[in-house]
Amino acid sequence: MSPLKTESNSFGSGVSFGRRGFLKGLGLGAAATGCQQLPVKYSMPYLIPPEEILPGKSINYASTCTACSSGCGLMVTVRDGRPIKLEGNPDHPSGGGLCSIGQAQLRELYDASRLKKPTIGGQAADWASLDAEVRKGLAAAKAAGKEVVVLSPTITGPAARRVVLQFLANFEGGLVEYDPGPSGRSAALEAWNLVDGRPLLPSLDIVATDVLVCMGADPLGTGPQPVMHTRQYANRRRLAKRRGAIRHIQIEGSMSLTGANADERWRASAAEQRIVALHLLAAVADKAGQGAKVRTALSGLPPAPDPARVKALAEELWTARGRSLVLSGADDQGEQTAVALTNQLLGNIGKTLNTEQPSLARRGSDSALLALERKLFDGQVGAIILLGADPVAQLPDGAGWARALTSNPLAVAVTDRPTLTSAACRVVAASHHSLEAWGDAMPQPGVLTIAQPTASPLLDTRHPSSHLLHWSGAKITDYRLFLKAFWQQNVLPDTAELTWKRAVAVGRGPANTRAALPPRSPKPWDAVAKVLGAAAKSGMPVGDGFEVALIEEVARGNGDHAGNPWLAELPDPVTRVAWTPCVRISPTAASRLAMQDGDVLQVTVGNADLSLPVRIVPGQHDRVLGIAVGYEEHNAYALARAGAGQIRWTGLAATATSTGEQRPLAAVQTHLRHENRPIIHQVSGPDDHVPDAHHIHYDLWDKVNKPSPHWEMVIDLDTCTGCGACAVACQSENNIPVVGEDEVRRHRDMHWLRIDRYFQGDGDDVDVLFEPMLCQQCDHAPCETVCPVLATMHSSDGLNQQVYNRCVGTRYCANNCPYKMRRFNWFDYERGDAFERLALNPDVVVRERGVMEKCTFCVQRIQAARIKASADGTEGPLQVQTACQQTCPAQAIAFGDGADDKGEIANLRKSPRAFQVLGDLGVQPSITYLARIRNKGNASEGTKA
Amino acid sequence: MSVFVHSEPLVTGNRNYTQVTNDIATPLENKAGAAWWISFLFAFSALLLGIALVAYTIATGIGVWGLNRTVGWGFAITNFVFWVGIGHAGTLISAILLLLRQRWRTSIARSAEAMTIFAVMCAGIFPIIHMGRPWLAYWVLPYINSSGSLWVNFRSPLLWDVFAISTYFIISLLFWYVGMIPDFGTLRDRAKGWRKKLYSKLSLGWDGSTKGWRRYEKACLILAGLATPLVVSVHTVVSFDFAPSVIPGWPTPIFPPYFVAGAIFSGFAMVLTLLIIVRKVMHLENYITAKHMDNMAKVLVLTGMLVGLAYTTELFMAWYSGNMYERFTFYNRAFGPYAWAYWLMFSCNVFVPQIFWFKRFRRSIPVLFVASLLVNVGMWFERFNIVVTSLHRDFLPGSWSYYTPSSVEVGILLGSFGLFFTCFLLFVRIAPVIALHEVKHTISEQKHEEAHGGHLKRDPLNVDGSTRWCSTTRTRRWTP
Repeated sequence: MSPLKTESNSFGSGVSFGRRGFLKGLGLGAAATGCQQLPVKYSMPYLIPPEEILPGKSINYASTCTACSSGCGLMVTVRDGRPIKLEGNPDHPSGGGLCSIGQAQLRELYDASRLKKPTIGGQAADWASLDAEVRKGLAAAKAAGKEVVVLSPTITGPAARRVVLQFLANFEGGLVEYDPGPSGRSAALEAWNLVDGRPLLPSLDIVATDVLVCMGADPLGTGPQPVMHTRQYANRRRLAKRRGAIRHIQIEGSMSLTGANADERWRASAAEQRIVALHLLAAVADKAGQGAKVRTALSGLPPAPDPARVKALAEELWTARGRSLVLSGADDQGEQTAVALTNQLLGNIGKTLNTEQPSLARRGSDSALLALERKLFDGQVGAIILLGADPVAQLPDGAGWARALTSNPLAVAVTDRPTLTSAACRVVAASHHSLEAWGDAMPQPGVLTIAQPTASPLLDTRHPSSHLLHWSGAKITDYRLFLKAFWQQNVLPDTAELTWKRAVAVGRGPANTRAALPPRSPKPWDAVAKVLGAAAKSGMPVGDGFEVALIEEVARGNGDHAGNPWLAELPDPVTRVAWTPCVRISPTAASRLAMQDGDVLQVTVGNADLSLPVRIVPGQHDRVLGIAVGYEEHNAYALARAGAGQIRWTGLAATATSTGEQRPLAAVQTHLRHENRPIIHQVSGPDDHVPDAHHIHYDLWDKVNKPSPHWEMVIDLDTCTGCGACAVACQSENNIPVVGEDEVRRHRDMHWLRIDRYFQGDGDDVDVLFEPMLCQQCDHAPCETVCPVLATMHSSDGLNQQVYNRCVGTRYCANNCPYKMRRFNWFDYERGDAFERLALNPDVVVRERGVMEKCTFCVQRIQAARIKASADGTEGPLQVQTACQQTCPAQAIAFGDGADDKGEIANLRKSPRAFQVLGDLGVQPSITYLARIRNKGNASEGTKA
Repeated sequence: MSVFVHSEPLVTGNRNYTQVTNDIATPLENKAGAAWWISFLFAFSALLLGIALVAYTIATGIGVWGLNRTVGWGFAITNFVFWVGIGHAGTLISAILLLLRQRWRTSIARSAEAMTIFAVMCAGIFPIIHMGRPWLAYWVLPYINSSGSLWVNFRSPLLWDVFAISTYFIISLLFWYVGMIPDFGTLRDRAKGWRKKLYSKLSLGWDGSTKGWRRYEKACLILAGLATPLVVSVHTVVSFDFAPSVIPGWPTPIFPPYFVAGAIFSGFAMVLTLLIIVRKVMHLENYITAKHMDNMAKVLVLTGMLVGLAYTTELFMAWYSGNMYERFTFYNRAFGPYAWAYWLMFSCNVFVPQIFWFKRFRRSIPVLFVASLLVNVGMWFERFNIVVTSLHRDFLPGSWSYYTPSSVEVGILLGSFGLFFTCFLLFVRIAPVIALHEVKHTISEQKHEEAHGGHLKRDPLNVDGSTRWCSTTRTRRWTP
């Protein structure tokens, strides 16, 4: 296939364009004139030859998600030249899922607030003058003998890294990588440098793990590569029958997503967590026969908070040595070192932890960053280029950075949207959104992927790497050519055009690619012992004062995507609060402070303070105030403390005082517990039956034969982690409007799929149960009988249909829904201007005000599959994936024909863990749930909901 | 019905027929007094406020109300059920008490019927404006259309509502109007100027002939026959808005009788409230006597205890059913976040009427007035409890919520009272609030009774002994 080169697009040079002009440029015009036009230059559609490109027909492009450094595989659905849906690439090592942040990238592409033009000093500029300005500044810096620095989050793409290094080769200074937020792994990198001789995080194999201990680590939620780790974790849980249920112990102060999934959870402050880690190391070392050496290093270690428990845990880990995994998310080098050593002593290296094929998703170093900060503040940096980094918003001393950047002779912000940093920089190089850009990523050696543009640049922007190519005076300034040349020389087996095209089409390079990793430089035991000794002697804070733990939320992350409305509206899985930043406190702390949900608490750390409403969360440590970073307003980064080459996110001594104010939370769930209703279950083993399974023994209705297909769903609560990616996928697929903070506060959230969270247990030590709740497509649907105008009725394939055009909005259907999964358009919700509306899925109707809506099992996909099957003349079951199912990193959702006795659905329904929510009402829901397995270890008792 | 003893005269003051006509017609012919104008100003302002807020709601969206994804119905449906209930007393007084030969009904029947019409008007507005797309409200009608085979859902209780309410309104309106024709004739004969023209039209050329009376009686008979089942059926259908659902607290088999009893209860309370004002303002103390008040208070005790029985039956059944969701719903009503509403309802509806076991209170106008208002408040909260507290915490605790009405909803409720009182105030200025010919008939019977020095055992005019179906039967023509 030969690439069809397009003429320059009519809108490419202008900033303002109307909807019509835009659509014309994007293919409809081309269709009208009768000629086919490839919407994007040189992109390779996935497995579909370009001759088949038709207006109104979607094409999938394999690409790479660049929302974070995890580099998950992406499948971009493009219609008429515009991306309309992002999905995980099932052929990608990340597993084919996509997290909520990845899903929401589509919305960012069309965000009205994106930078439309390069600017110098706030004035719109053209690229030639911007380039001249930057070159002049660089020359001045060089002449003055000052450093030129590029600050960027971890760059995993080899070509992207090469561009930066090539650019910097002409100057003093260098590249500083920094992963903002508590999900940065600076301390862990230093620990592995000590223990393994290389500052790289080992990659994980959770599938091989039988005992998983996470200390403040959140591999499923906010840690590096969460999609891949969730897939592994789910795959391991699916092996419960063969290998026994995984045993997962979480030790943390603030409940993370991973902690919510744990079988057993210890609440620990930062210091307690560190002490437990050190005691655990000592106990494991005793068993490994290295107790004396380790205990000498750990002299002065205070006693563990619960010695018997630590001993039992060490026992459990030792029994499962080689099949266990201990992870820490701590910002403390001592704890990280202890954990690394524990894994070594347990023989996990090479089994559950791979240091030979390490994770490259976190390379950022706090000490390098802080060194840069000092130099920058002292005026020693001649020029700084911020390659997607936002230090003003994402560092403790943001104000200092803003001042330093403003006064720096050449501060260049390379970004696709305005940030606090770009506001402080004189030169703002407006960049492509990642969906418009070529790129590559290598989150770990062997996983080498290509990002190809799926939309022509919509605005007057330039590729971020292309800026550097321009400024370094390179001959090739087109990044596509650079990338291709780089890959042909370094990655691909040959330089044939077809090899490159194939790689682009499948979105990745050969699997056997090895990255050149830095050589190991082993460190002596003395160095390790010194770090351990320091950690042992740092002791416990005295008194019962509060401490702040800065955390990341699954949807908000470190704030890189703050301002994305899809992510802002996704409630946090644990707090179930969207939009509103809050302080998580335990019920005990709440009664100590005499506070309720929504009462504003002033938290002071050092000289920084923040006033936030509280959210009472069982499972929170009584002295730990959990505050999430990543919000635009009430930025919590200022509470972090920098010092001694390290940024501290946890264990920050704080004072908390009630302000007496109230700020109602935008919480979608107000009730904490399931009140012992048989609506959700957990069992202690894979063969345990769901207790109190309500089977209907009588039915007054006539039995109706269900014709095939009868669409049904099975959701495995055992593998579901509650991350919420499905909700965003659903929002994207089904054009669900964003209703905003105020409406969520009024409980008018529009998500067609919500994940209920129930705490089980009376005290503060609770089990957490997640239950994705969506329209159950009941066969005896209570909503259908009550609609006076027949706007909702049953289809022959088992779907509960909603006819938006017929709906008059009496809302009786929503009242009569036992699952409360019908959503009403209380207003004409804002969908943005013509530009933002491009994110809408053209296959799904946009509902007007006064109309009821709800999950349809992605009926548009079912119909598309049906039409395709009938056009192709294929027989057999339709292959349909719902949006939520496709994106689920855990593959917890199965969807298919329930009338097929041999199908996947029928098979899963036979599980002893199968139950229907409110099945005893006789409404005959089409969704079956499989109960959670909670492995309580030796002390396991069949606990039930 | 022996509790309603007829020992006491139903019309006091020893009025003759001319005096009766003057008493009732003169206030209509004179200029309205200050009290009327002040009341009208308040009522009309409230109506205008309501109209403005309804317009605002329709222009902006139901979102301006306090509803949410869990509580889909709030004030609007509460108001709807409340107003439909109010209407029931009018029909009961005109039709059922008529069947039961309660002569004391004659002087209150007209106002009660008017109240029915206006209450049903108020009620009918709410199901329309609570729709998300009220401009498509006509889609609930089974009209012949060209949009393919679009039809209505005959299984939906909301559709039954459409039929029940529209039937009720039409029958009540006809009954009320037909009943007024002879009185309009009387007024026409006295009136001058534009009033004469108005009453000429309204009286449909009433000439008081025997033929006229006979046809009038037949029409009354038919309409009374049609209206009688409506007393029971309309609120039964309204109760079906809840009873066939699945939400705990709604599918309660006693809802139909419970709703009917409640409707009569609230209707009588409203009749009391209105008549206490009317008799004072219009100087009708001779016609609406303490005895009427006494009788209505007795109805309140009876129906109040019926609803009390319904409440306790509900509680018992919730416990006895063993259904955890039902149990919780009723526990939640009594002790949950809306407990205040539940106990307000319970005290107003069950405890307050108990004072009417005492004759002293039955005859005390201030006590009656306050109690009738409290019963109305209680009955409004009964509907609020049914609608909101059942919805806000149903099966899945994950979707539990709370509902707080917005000021727009409160304003629309106020507006509905504005509409009701505006209509009622116009009614008392235009139509005779007391059925002239019926009262005159009562006086004639009373005189007859006194002449015979005993209780009226049998209608002396009912010579053939047949059952009297219409109060106006064999009433002679009166020319004032």
